[in-house]
Amino acid sequence: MNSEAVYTEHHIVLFLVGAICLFFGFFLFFLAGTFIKRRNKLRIQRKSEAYQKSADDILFNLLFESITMEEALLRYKKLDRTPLLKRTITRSIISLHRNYVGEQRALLEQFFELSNLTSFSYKKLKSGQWAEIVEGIRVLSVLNIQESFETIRVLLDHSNSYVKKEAFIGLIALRGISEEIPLPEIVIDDWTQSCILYQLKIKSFQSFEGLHLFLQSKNDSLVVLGARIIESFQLHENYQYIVNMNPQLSAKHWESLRIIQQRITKILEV
Amino acid sequence: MTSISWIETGVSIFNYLILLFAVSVMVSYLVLAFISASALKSYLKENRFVNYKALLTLNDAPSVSLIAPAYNEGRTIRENVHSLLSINYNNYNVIVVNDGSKDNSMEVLTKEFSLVPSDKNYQAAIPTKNVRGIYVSSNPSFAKLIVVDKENGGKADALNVGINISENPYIVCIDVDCIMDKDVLLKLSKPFLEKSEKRIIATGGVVRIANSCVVKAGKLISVKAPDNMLARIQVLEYLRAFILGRMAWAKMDGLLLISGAFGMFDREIALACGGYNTKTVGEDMELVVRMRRYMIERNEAHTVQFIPDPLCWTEAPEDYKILIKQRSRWTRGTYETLYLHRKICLNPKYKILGLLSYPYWAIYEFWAPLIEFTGLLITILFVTLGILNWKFFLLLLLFVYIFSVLFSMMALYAEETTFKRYNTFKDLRKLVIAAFLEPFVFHPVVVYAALKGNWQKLKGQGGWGEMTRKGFVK
Repeated sequence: MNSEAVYTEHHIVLFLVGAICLFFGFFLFFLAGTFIKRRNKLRIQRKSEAYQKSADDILFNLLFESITMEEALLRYKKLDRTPLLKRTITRSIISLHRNYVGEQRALLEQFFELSNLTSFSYKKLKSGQWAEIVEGIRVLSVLNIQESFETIRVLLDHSNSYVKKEAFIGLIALRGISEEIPLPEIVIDDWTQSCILYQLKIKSFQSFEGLHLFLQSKNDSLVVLGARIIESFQLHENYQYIVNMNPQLSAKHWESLRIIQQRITKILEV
Repeated sequence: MTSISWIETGVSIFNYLILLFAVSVMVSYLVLAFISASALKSYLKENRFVNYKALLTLNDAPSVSLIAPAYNEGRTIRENVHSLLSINYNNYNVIVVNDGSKDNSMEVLTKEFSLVPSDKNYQAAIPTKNVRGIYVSSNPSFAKLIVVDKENGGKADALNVGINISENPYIVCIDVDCIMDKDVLLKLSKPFLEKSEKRIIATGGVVRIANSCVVKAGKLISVKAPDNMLARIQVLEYLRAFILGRMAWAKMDGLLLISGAFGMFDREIALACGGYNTKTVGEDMELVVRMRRYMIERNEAHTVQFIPDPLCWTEAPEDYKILIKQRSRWTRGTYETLYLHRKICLNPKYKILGLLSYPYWAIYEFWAPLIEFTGLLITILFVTLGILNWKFFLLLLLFVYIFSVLFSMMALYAEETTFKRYNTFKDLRKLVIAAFLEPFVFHPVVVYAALKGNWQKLKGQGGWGEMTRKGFVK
């Protein structure tokens, strides 16, 4: 073997040995990473379970009037109020809020506000990460914190489209289809529309005073949303208006409106 | 040049070629893994707070038909169909196609779901084997169910019957024995409802291994790493393929394959393309490639989406005999699809599909086992002739081995960072051990199965072969 070949082989051997060491190092890194993540996950799970117990104890006793609001707040204040506890208890409140109505739902909202858990969510609205802002909007609007309306309204002008959409859903969750809500210019896709319909249903809004603004909007997606609200909430007095509508819409939105018109026409015929 | 130096040069060239191939495989895997990681991060961020139940309020949610072909599934079909009927979604129906089962599948279905003949006429927009009857339930609780009894024609033929029967714009083709997440249709439908400039012609999902997992009433109760070593290694294989591979191809809009166990398709385009090809055993991949070609050749903007959530759980082969059958079938399917669509290879008209996806599949999925086998034969020859460079050979072997273990570990890390479905340290230990053993007890078998698949193709052998399943832990 000539010296050049020996030199090349030496380099390849060095490359292989180096790569093997590097791969093994990365293997150890990912193994340790996985191990640590799993350990943390299990630790958080255990803590969450304990917090969940405390949360259930406070919230169920409050809901079924075994304890007063003052006592519930006192019990909450005695807990170690870590971010994990706040997250756990907020999740519990939202979950119960979804399943209860009337006085019990109002009690949950009151507890959320008086326990100062709202400040935890308000902080998220100021976060630099859009996902945190979305979470903040979601919690405050679902739990009906009316004071957050103005703060959320400002977020309609946020640069991120997810935040804009969530702000619009949040404002509707707080006030229903109201004239106070500024209409966004972005396209409200079908997924966001389903979230809006869901909020309207779960909050049992009875008044739809701002609906005409949707139907007359230059934003095609809002016209379709208006028609969907009329159909979903069986607002019979608007049926004829929907059937007779012939706005200039994009092909996709026109197709959606046409399908709704067909369904409403069928109902009117019956 | 002397004969000795000729031999030395030949050995060196062989060494470099093998090294080059190994490095190219590794680089491609790592690039795909990084793209996947970035796509996964965005996906999880965007869907962190999604309340999928909201979709249940929308009348205009996409209407979907779940098509489940069944062949000799009598033992488990009752539970599986109940599970499909309890999925959270409004606008869907379930079409079970009994593909001429030899067991009591039809009797079980008729009795359990009070089936009566339907007055629905069968119109074969896609030609299929003879349909013996179409049945619906007389019990209103099962109003979503349609059962079709037909002559045996294979899975692709049964799926085509389902496509013909369906009246919904979207079809979800599944294996009847898979365990589905209850929110599967809500999650699959979401991309169709979001603003998209392109027509989504198909959506694929992640398939995970359910061996040793606890299943109750068709629902996955607890996820565990399989006790069986072969199944355990397949957990790693599926994690690598789905989490670190397909997510990247979807991000680059270059997906060529949606798993046959679970995929959603635009029925109009599937029909326009003539449905599943009954002449190939790789009908899942073939349909996706054909649908994409159809759209590109008509200059219609389209995309194929991928949902990384673990939505479908399946049983993996636990013995070598069945594994070899399955893998040789996959090789034949890959070969058939690549051969049928050879026109797109390196053809700029097909953009990323022709320039990247197709060549990648051809080299790293189809040719790789053949290249590996050739390398092995030459190595044996070198050993026999006493000219093998042992130092280089052993280092190369170790290099490839350590990378294989590292890549499996990366898949486990990605799982732990994202979906976190395995919960105990015991599972982690079992899977890490599997990563170390895979190159010895699994990879050679897969290469053998691929070679067997090619040999069968050369001999003109076709068909699926029987796949016996053990059933889930209940």
